[in-house]
Amino acid sequence: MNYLKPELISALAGEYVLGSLKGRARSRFERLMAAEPLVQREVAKWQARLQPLADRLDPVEPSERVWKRIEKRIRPAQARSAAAADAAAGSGAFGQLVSAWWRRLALGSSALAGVLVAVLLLRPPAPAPTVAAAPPNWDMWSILLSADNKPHIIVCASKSSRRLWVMVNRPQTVAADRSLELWMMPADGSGQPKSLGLVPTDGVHQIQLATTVQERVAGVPVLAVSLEPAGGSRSGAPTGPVLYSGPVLFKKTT
Amino acid sequence: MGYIASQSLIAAQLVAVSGFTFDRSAPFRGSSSLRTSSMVRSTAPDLTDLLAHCALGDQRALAELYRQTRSRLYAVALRMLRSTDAAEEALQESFVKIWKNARVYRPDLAAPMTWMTTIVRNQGLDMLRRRQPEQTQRVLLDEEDDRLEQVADESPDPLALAMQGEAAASLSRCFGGLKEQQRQLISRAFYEGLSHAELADATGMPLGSIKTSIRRGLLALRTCLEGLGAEAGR
Repeated sequence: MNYLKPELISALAGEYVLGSLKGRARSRFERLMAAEPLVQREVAKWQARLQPLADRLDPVEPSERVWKRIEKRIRPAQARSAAAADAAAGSGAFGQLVSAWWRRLALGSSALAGVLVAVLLLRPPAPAPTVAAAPPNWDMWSILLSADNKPHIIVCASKSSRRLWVMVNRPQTVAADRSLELWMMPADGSGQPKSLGLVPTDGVHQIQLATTVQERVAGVPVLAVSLEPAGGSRSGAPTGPVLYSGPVLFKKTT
Repeated sequence: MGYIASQSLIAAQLVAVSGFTFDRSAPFRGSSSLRTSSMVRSTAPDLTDLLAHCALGDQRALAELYRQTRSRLYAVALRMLRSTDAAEEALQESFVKIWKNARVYRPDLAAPMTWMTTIVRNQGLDMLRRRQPEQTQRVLLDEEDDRLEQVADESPDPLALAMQGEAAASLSRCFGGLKEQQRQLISRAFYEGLSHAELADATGMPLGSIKTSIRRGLLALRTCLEGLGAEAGR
């Protein structure tokens, strides 16, 4: 399929969002979208482009019975989630809460079936990750997702410290002659990724920096983990496939 | 915009993950249960925050989200489905989906309203698809459509545009630059969820012309919006 011509992709994405693409063509496009991040981004762009059309409709109040029905539908799921959270007792408040949080994510997985907004959806993560510790006063973090949008690694830190905490959310299986390496990706795709060092395949790990986190990650939009030869890339640039990536985020201060 | 939204979502997640007590029964109060004062918000939660709380299973957050968005989303559903019953069903199904999928909402990919509108429109499109062709659609299609005129506003009032916000103003301007026929077809497809074939039926135009007209119209729209620098996000 010579589907990946930018103009054609953009037009099809526009027609998909518009809704005029129907039937088999729509199903075909949805399959393409599921496989191609580029297509997902184009769809997201069209959603934003056409959103003002929806915004300009005059609001209409729905009947009160709609909310009553919604409430009825969501209550059982809510009860299950709460029970799961309560049951997730562990050692230490942090581990307990993290465990509850992830277990809840896993629990809700059946809810995902059949939702059409594939571009905006992630697959549910597998249950029972373990995160045992966190830095004090963390105010920067990044959740690194795999290509199929599962959260694998959390990086977090206090901006004023010189230490990055890397928490592996689910144990990785990596061949003996391979290592996982963490990179700061350049802004706007220009420039070279810079290594932050190796990351473990399991557990919690700290990366010591020469400068503060603030200085080191300033302007870095994305962190990524690639698969490299044991001990890390020798060329100083990522050589293996990028397994996980996620945006660098800072806690909003008010 | 996506970036700021991401921050607040993450901040909300931080509350849940970092060992600060997340008090399920008090979703928006927070101050008593948080040790970090910088994370306490005194203002009403925005839609991104509400989605984050929905992701954490907070039913009150969904209630507030519903309160803030129901009339706008219902308008979209009603416009497409043209029946109160169907539109209510679409709104209901959409909010169940919003609830179940809030945890995978990506603020870096879409604004909350855009994400929720997409869910509502996809729900509407699904329901239209399930409807049989002999149903009332065709009759409705022949109705005079005054909304088209508004969308195709060629000389927009500057003040109104300012109030609509930059994205809406840009879209208005770029829509104005399209051919009349392109505007009509794109509007009807968006609001009414009509397929190319249904548009051909409704307008009497050949299917090929419909496809060409919509495709050219969309690409012209994209070029115009990019030219205005109106592209949101990346």
